[in-house]
Amino acid sequence: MNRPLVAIVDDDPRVLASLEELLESAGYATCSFLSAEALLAHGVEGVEVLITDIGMPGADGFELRDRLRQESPELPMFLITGRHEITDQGRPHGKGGFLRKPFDGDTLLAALQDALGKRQA
Amino acid sequence: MARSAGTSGADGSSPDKPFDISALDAAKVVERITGNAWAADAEGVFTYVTPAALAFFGITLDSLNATPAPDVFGWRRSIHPEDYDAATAAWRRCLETGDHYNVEYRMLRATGVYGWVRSTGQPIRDGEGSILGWYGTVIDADLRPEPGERRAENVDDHLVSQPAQNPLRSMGTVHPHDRPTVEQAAARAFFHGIPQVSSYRQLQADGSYRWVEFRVEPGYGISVDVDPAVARQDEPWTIAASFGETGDAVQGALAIEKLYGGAWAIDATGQFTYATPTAQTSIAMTLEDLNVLLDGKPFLEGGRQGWQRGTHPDDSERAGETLRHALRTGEDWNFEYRVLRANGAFVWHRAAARPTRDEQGRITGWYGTALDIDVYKRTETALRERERQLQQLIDTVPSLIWSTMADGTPTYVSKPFTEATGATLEDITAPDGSASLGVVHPEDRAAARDAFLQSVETGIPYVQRYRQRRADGTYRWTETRAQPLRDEAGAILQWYGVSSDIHDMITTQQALRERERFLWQLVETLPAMIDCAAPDGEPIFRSQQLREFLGYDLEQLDGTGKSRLTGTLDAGVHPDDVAAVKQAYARSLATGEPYARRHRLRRFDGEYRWVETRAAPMRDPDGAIVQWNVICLDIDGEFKAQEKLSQAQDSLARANQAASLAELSASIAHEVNQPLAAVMNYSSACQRWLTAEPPNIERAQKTLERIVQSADSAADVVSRIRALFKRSTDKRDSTALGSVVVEARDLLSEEASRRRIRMDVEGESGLKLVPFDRVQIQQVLVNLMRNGIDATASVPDERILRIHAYRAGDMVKIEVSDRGRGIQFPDKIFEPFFTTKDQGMGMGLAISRSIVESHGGQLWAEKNEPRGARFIFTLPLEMTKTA
Repeated sequence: MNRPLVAIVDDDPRVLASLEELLESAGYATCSFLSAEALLAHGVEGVEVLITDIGMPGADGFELRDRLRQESPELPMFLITGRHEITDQGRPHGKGGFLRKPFDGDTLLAALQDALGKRQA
Repeated sequence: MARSAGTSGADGSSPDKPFDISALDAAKVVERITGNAWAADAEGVFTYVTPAALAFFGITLDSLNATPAPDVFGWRRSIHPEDYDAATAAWRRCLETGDHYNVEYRMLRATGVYGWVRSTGQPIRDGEGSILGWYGTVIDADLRPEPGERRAENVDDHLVSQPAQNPLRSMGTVHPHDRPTVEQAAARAFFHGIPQVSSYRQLQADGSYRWVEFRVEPGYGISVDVDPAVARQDEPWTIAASFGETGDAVQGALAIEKLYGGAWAIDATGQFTYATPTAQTSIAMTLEDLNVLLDGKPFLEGGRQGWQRGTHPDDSERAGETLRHALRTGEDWNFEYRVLRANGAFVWHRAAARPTRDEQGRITGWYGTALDIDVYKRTETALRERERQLQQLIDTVPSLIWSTMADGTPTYVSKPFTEATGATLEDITAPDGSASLGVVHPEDRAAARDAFLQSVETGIPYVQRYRQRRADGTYRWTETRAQPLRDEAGAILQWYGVSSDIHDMITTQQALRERERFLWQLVETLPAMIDCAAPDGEPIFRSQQLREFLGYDLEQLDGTGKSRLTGTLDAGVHPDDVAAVKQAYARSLATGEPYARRHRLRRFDGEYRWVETRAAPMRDPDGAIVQWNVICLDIDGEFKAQEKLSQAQDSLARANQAASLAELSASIAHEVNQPLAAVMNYSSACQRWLTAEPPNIERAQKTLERIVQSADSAADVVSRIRALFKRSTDKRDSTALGSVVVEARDLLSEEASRRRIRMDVEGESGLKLVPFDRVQIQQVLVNLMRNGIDATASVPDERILRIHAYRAGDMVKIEVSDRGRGIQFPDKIFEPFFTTKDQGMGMGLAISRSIVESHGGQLWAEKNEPRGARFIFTLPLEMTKTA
């Protein structure tokens, strides 16, 4: 079975591990990165969806999103934040959206499926 | 010629010799002797006055004879008012009785000055004794030994009671008690040649006495009763057997004798043909004595004549020579010489003789007289001596003295004047005779001239300050004062001036004025409002700035019923402030303590502006307050800015607090949310593993384990945060900082050594903080040190953590320096969301900062040199209050 590859970026390894567990349980393949730089170094070849934390040392989630948008405008991206105000003020750009911690896993999975479904369609 | 001329020719002792001569002729004769004469008719109307005399007194014959009013003589204006009545009374009486007229009075000269004169007159009678006319002369009598002592008097007054008798012929009429007085007066007059005035009680016909005043002239006949040496009176030796050709001369002599009491006539060879009887003279000589040729040689041929024995040896030869010269040439003889008195004293006389001529002009004889001028001579000598002394005095006085005539013509400058200014009398006299004021600075000269001319014109004393040139060409400030010298009638005779050097005083005054002006300008232009008040607080001066601010002058406060201070405060100070201001003023005024206060003061336009007023007392050497000096600054701008700033600081502090709290809560939320997010993710995953077909029990179990781990982690976060924020139950104390640092190090020493990191702690001893929460500060220290340890652990060498505490001003600085990789984003590390660590919740420099700030300090990060990071926080030191 060809599982869709989801890239996850979060500087907190505990959160990263829990996301991997969730996505795998839903039948996704994952590749995890502890920083935006690590992801960019690896590249997004084969990646179908990106989930990234916003608050990170080095390049943060916004910066990562902006940079990826240049080369992969169609890549759906989900930004996770602990801050209400950011979700309130920021408008979604392109595909994907904001997720506020703590979020319901089903919600994330539904959003992922939605994004992937649109893409496949 | 050794006759001294007595003055009282009317004593009746010499018989009237009728001679055929008119009053005018007699006057002409007299004029030749004395230089002036007058003639009048029997009524007293003047028919002749020597022209020179008219000019001298500034009168005319017509003016003399005018009758400006009934019973008023035309010559009234020429006689001093004080003397006029006595003179006219005597003149009227003489015109009536034919008595000899002999009066002294002050007579006005053409120059406007009164001078003492003696006026004598004598009637001319016909064969029956009727008066045909009068002739006489006016002699300048201004030769007074003591100016001012003389008063107008009719020297013949004593004759009034007994006109036909010589009142002093016998001492019998003198009251016995007064006789010594009279004798002494006569003796003084005789021996000293000074006229004596005295009084005695005179025996009247009815046997009573009455006081009379008398005057004894030198050489006057009273001496017969006093001095036996001149006892030969009335000896009829004095007329030659024959007058020869000298008849005219004898007549002239008789005319003169009438006026002066003594005269003589000589022939062309010098032989006496007449001499006034010696009854009133002091030297006893017969006519033969006078004429004897002492060395057998005729007088004209150089021989000495008998009269010369009666002259001073030093004068004798010269007297002979000058008379001989006159006899040979016909020139008038005028000579002054000393006459030997019987008592052996020499007395100065002035002799004068004039020739008489026949129709062919040949000299027929000479007549002459000799006036006693001893008093004058001695007075002159004394005056000369006094003048010399005065001159010495003037030249010794270190003042510049000068004098001018009444019209301002310079007449004298003292020696110091010339020495100081280099200017002589000529130098200060202009070509036209006026004062040149050449020593006055050109810029001051016109004013000085105007003032001086004004004084000369009005007689008002002259005072002027000007720069006066010195001999070296420099100018010095001088004050010159001049006063007029006036005669008895008030006419100005001279101006006497003195110039005083006041240069130092003037320059000092100028310097003072300049300084005062400077201070005044300083006060008026200082950008502050200045006020001076009396010791009781009453304002006495306000600077322009203050007057302009208030919009009214100090004087406008007067008359309101309030004191100036109360008036100002009530009118100006803001109603909310006025009570406190008054109280503070009253306190300062009562205690003398300086005053300082900020309050609102009403400006002229009605706006209340904040001012700061400070007042301090000015005290005299005894410490008593003499004045309050007040400065008032308009601080409205600053005050309001300060107010705004303070508000801004308050809101900033509140904002900071809120921001810190927000950051803190965000940090806490983040720290808690992380494990919570993990829990939720794992929960979803677990559910999916269990509901999968087939269920993946193994993964579900693993996921559950992780859920537990994450939940523990969240609980751990919460407990650690709680610990962090646990309010220390201890009160803040003043534990020494050093012990807190050492405790923190001890807490971490095990971990540091395990990770092979050395911790160096150094600090100043005795750093005493204001009371602080030691637990919280310890937590900050532990946090920073643990961060440092984590950073240091990532580098291979120089694994050193340095903790350094030192004083910086009124704060203490605590630095925690590591040599790790340093801070990549020093401006972001205090923000929430920001962590560089793999482990731990990185509790937050934000929390540490919050703690430090709550203690009044600051926390920030810097780059350490040569590498690594340095975290620094400050805490306030406890200031000793002894300062």
